[in-house]
Amino acid sequence: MVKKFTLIFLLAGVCFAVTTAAPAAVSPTVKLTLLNTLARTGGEEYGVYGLGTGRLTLKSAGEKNVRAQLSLDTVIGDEVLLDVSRAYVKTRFPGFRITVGKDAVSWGEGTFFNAGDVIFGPVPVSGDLTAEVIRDDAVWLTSAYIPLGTYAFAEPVLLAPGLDLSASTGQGTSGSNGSFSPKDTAAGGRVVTKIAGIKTEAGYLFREAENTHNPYFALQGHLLADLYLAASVSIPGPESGLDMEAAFSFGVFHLQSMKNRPAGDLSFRLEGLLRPSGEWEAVPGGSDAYGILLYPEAVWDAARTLSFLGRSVVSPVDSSALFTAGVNWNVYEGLKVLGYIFMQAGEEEDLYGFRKPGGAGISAGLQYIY
Amino acid sequence: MKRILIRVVIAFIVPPSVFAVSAEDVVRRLEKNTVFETSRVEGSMVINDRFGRKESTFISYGRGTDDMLVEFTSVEEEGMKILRTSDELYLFFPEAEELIRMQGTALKESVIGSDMSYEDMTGGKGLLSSYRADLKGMEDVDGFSCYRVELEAKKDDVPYYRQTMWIDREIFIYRRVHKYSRSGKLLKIVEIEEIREVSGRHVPVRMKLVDSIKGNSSTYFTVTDIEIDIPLDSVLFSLEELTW
Repeated sequence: MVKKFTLIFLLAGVCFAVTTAAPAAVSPTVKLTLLNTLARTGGEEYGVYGLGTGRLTLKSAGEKNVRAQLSLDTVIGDEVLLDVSRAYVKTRFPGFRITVGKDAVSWGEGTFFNAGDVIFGPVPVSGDLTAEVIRDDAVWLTSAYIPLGTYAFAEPVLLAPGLDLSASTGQGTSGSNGSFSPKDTAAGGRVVTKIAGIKTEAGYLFREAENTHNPYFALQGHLLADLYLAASVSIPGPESGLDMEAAFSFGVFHLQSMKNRPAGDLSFRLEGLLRPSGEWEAVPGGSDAYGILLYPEAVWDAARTLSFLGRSVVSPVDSSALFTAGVNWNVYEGLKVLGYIFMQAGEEEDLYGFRKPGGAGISAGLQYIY
Repeated sequence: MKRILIRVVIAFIVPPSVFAVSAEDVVRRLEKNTVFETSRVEGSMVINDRFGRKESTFISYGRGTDDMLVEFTSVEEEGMKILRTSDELYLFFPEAEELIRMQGTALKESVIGSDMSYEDMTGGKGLLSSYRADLKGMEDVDGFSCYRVELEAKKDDVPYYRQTMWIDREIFIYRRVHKYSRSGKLLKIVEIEEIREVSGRHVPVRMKLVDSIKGNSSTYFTVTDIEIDIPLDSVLFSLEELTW
């Protein structure tokens, strides 16, 4: 059933993308983030290193019904790593639109923890607390957007893994011959709407590789503070050998405008992730599958172009935490001066440990978008 | 001295009815002038404070008092969109494909670091449905004779409890607005610096917004191109267009 669905979806996506192709202008953007970092390398040793990240984005422009984007990411250290972070074409027709390629998907609710994200998981892949957008992951997909009214839409999606090219490049390490299996495919969809003033989202994803059914829902509303929550469950299929797993995440946000000195907007966010079947006792080296994790965040917009932030991931199970404090000075359009101090608090065997590599450090540099 | 005496005499002997218009009339004529059936605006937003200067550009589409879609076109915010309808405000960040519904205290957040908050974009239902208007007389603003109209909130779902507007007597465009909290604290100051005639209508094309609490900062909005009463597809003001 899934194979047939997969084939139809793929063919439909390719056909639509090809038939709507039209000449379009290109709008290029470059985002460079260049930081010098002094960080603990382990034990009592510290080291200094320079690290840059760059994203070259080429967007189509000028065509009303077709949009395309190619983004190349690079990490510049003593070597250079390259990645294609976005490569998609979107096209719209009366009543629906489709996306084919590698693109971000944002299911559920949550800045850091998001139990509704059944695609990338409730804990962000990178977990970089200095990142502007913490959840910035993309996946190869074919999706459709079907409007169901002003504030509602449905979004079916097919997630096919990218073809393993290591055999053809000669870099395969696991005896790969470039083959692929339909078993690596996932498919599902979501519906987003508004019910009684609450943004409501419900969805489902079937992962053939693990043979699991993953329904979820997410809500966003306001009651004294801005609140959001998400819940998902991974239900194993027959003979999968897996246990059912549930995850719950919540978030509270509040912004306070300070009318006296020091003036500015002070915002607070607290997110939590609960996994009843996660690890509830400390394990050596720590685990991001602990049953409970917290994410507190405070941001002070001291001036229009100057803000300070504090973010942390707290692991109550082993009483360890990661702290990041930063400053972000938007000097000119596109140019930011960035500075961060980060520290892990905990023992070496905890999820976060001061003596671990990267256990403490300071970073400073520039970001420019042009 | 003679001039002051004349003004005092006029103030005492001339009844308010001589203003010939009521506060509600003035506000209605203001809204008739500043609210378009549809519009498409290209413009820029220059944010200044003691730490730096930032310029962003945008295209916005409007329909009546309620609906607005803003898309930022400057490189730093490119593709970010804001959708306002009668009762909702949504943001869309294209890089993360993230759709955010703004509500509660999040509405107090600044729009891309400017002196304008998301809250300032709400409340498009018409001033007279949210405020009681009172005409306080006439005053000159930058050499233009204006009605001074005090607005006081009828209900709590407005961002500013009280507003004072100086509305040009000739063209019925406000020249200056002071916005206050319930406690009477001056929160925002709006000043119109340039007005242009477009299709027979007077349109403010350069406006200064100051957040008086934060001080030392200002945001200039400049309209570089405007079309009014043009055909617009209603799908523009929906999540479908916001997320496109």
